Amino acid sequence: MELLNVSHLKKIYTTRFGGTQVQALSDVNFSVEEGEFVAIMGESGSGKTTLLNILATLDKPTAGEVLLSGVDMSSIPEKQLAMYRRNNLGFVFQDFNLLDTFSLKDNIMLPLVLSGKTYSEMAPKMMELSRRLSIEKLLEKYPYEVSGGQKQRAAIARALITEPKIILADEPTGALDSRAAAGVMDLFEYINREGQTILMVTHSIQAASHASRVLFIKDGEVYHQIYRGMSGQREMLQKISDTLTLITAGREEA
Amino acid sequence: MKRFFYAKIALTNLKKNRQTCFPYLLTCIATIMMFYIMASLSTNSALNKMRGGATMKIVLIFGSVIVGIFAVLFLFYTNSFLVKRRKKEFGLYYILGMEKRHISRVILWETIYTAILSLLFGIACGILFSKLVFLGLLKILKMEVVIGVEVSAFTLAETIGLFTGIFLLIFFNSVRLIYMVRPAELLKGGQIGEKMPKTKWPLAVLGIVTLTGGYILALKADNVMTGLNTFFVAVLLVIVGTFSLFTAGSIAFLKVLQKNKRYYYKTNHFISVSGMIYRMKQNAVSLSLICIMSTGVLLLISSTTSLYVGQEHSLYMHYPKEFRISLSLGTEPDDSAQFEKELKEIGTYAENYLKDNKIDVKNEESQTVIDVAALQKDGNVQITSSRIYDSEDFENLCMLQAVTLEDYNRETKKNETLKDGEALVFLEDVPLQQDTFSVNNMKWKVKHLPEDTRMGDTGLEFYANPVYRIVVKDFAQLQDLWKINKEVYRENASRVKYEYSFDVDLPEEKIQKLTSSLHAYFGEQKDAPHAFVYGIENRTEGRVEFYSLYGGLFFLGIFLGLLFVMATVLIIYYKQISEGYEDKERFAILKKIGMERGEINASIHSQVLMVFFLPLVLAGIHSCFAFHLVKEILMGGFGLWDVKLLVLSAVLTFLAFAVFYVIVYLLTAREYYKIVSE
Repeated sequence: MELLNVSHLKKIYTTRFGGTQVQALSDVNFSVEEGEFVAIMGESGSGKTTLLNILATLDKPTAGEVLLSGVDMSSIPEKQLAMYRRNNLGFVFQDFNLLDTFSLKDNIMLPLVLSGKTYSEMAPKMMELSRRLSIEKLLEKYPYEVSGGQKQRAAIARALITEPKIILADEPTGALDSRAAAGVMDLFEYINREGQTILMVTHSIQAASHASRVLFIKDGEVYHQIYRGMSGQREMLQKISDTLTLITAGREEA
Repeated sequence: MKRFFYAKIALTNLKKNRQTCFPYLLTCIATIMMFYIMASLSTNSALNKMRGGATMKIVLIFGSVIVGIFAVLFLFYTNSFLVKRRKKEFGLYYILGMEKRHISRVILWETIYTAILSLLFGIACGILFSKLVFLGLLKILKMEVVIGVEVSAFTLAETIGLFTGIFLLIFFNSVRLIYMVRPAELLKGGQIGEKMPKTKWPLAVLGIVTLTGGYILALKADNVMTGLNTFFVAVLLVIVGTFSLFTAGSIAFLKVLQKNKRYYYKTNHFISVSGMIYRMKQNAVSLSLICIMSTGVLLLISSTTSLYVGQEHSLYMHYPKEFRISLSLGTEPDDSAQFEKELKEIGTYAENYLKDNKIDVKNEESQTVIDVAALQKDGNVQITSSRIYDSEDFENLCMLQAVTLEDYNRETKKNETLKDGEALVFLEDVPLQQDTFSVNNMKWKVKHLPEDTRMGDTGLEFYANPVYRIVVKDFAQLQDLWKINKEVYRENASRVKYEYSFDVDLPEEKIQKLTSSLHAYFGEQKDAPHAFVYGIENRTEGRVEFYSLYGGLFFLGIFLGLLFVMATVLIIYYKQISEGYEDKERFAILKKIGMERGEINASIHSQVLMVFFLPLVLAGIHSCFAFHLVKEILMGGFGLWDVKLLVLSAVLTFLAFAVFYVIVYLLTAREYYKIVSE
């Protein structure tokens, strides 16, 4: 079943005094099926972040539409956006964005508290999640007391606790060393196998190789995509790397 | 060339950091100005010419010492706050290859610029405004003296010396701060993730104990002696209590809230409680400072205002009539009839003089009387010299005034009679309702009067409270009381005197003239036919003394009040700015996670509001408890009796201060929101 549909997405930034226009996205089309793990790759300036911001409803497209479960995101009134984001989307950021004022446990429960759930409703959920992500021993710790990988696990738990339709991850391994990064990606694969839809933006081949499909974005358009299919992670890695070489070569030829 | 380089960097720094440096500069200027004004007033030659100038001078010197001490503490505090904020900037210099000693040089230049600018402007404003302030002071004192602007070299040197010292101290402190930290820390500056504060229960308990102790002390004081004794201890306890409650108590309280899961995990409580814990950790010291200074402002202004406004009342209490002339014999005869006769003779001198010179007098009153300070015990009075200034005795201190029945009947136009061994006794101006009354070994049966009988003012309440007044059968008994008094106090004993008081309808100069001619006249009569001593008091001269003391205190109260208010404003301003930079990131994260802007605003607003109004509320509570103590001191030490006036001025001061506080809060909050929503 199709969960997310992006069609003819276009975004043009105009500088404040109306002078120059920068086209970040020219015509992006793709869709994500329920239970998929999609990675979007591209170089800096290719429009990845713009795309993610639009999907996260933090930015509005110039043209085109984004449908999540058939609902056009741009039709949601400004006032309900925060609630919509809270209930339907889960976010994982490069720099974790955990609040220093809260213990990991409270950071994880934050979205539920914002939605007005009672403690007895959210505590079991949080406990269960933290066991699955094996951070149950760290719950009382504060973000500055744990490692980067552990922080990202907590951030993933925070994204999962609202049972979002889709998780939007922005360079989730960007601030981590290779071991911690591999751990976080294994975790993504694991939650994906359990049915969680994930859309991840990255320029790490390693990270992308865990996805079930990789989209390549270049100059504001989806340029190419590869499916993992039945192949293992190593083969996927090879495929991505070949594609990237092709893209680079293509640019050099042009 | 190289030195020029550092000087240039320093200048750019000041310009770049103007958001924090400019208010600091203004504060330096204002502090220097206020010190200069205070110091120059206390040395102004016009003070020597004016009546009551000596009292005023002491008050002003006291004031300039306070301003000086305050300046050291306050500028020091403000500057270390600034340096902490700028750690990142210094860290960058370090990375770019500057050594710590080079950075110190930059700071030295910055300090030199600040010092020169603020001394120049501060002294200039001081000279400019000192005349204005002096005129205001004279207005308060209700005096008209012609004054010129004086610039005394001494005051200039004093001001420049003091503040150069302060700036040097500030410089060394900044350098110390820079040398103490590691470069990595310098770079991170304020951004470093603050640790969750631990609950310091001992400190929290200490806070509660000291605060309660201070409050109890303040409430227990019941006269000026115990009041003054406990005042400083109580103030110290309350200061310690305030600091420890703000630092530990608040965090302990919030942690308890946090433990209560049903309370804590609510949308609005969740963010604000955890945010508050951090805020309290960083702001505890400033908040306690704000709280203590606000309390100071409230107490200073309300007490000096009520003294000033109530001074006419106190004056009339001290001087019920315009003139009071008391005459007593130099040597008292043993025989009571002879004693009485001689006293009556000299007693007529004043009346005769006034009659001879055709001076119209009103509300004349004359009586033969003896006033004694004594101790009261179980409704009786004991004249004793022992340890009057011992605080336990002080609590029982009272005044005893004795008059004869003849004088009582004449002055109150009554026709009372007394049997042997009987007396009329009043406590204040109400008849005493007990059966017997004794003074040392003298004992009387109290003759009961109707309860609504009243006796007029004595003017003695000013010295001690309560006043017992006894009406004895004849002069012989008055003499007996005097003998007891003489035995106890020997050469210092108060005498039996003939007291003559009256009002006159004369302008001020004429009253002074009359006083001096009375002095001259009594001087001539001194030896014939009996040696006598005399005293002349008049309200007009008393007023000058009253005004220079109360007016001076009032002036000081307002002046120091303003200084404290300025400091409070600056601290609040800096708090808002640093809070703003810290909240900015938290804001951004909450927004990404899906908190609405409105919710965020509301939450942050409520936290900021709580943080800023907590000190005001606590200052109000402090003032309420201090009220009793201050009342006792003002009543006993300064002769203020109008408690209602004190209450009124305290309430008004609090309201005015609160309004002002809100305005300052709103203005600085704008700065805060600007930073947060950048």
